[in-house]
Amino acid sequence: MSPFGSGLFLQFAPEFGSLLTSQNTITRELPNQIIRVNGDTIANPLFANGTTKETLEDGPIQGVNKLRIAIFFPAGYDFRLLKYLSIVPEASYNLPLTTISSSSGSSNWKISSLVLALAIKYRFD
Amino acid sequence: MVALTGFSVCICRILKAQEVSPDEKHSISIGAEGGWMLNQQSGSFNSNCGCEPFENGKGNSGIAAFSVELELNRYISFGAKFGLDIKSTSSSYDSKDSGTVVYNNGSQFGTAYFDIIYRDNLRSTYLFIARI
Repeated sequence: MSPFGSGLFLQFAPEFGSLLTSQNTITRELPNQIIRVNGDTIANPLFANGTTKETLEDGPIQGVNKLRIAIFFPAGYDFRLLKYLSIVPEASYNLPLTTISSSSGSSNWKISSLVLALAIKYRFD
Repeated sequence: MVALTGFSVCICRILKAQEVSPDEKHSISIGAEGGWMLNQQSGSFNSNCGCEPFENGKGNSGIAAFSVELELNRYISFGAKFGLDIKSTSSSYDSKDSGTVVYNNGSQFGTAYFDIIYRDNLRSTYLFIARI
């Protein structure tokens, strides 16, 4: 049987990840041209840098965890188009079990992902 | 902007080896893969910026991968896949004190991975052996 014949496949995999680098940027901006502060009206407000937008943080994540543990669930179907050619649509879900940061300001911060992908494969005998 | 790069290792079921006929032909295949990724933040993120926590971040990003598979016989195949993915999220909120300041946070989560794959050809079933 061809290794790329048609067929449904389901997978399950615990994943142990090690994060190598991180960077974080936080900005704030003044969207309104008129604001009220303590009863006073201020027109065209600016931050100390003379603009309506400033960067508060731009650097590594504080307290980032080096180890990331997740569960990976891929599923797809292997379609054989020609004798040597097949396409494989695949969907997968990555469920994190550990948090990205352990800093006191963050609470159970995680990122999960749903992936839709299409692969093309060519076979050489 | 948050950027995280890493490697990961997956441990999966390993099936018992099946009988191999010595006169069966081997074949090699190559593949390319691309895809779309929907990312969802859970929990909250904060730092020493004096802001309130960022919650409910969402984002779209992509993946790209290349693979090679070797059919040992009509029963089993082994393969390897190298890929890159980027998980990105962004979130913002209006300040609670005056409602006049908008705080923004974006994140990108980049991962390079290398999969080792076992395939049961008769059942058309893939199984990961490792993700590094």
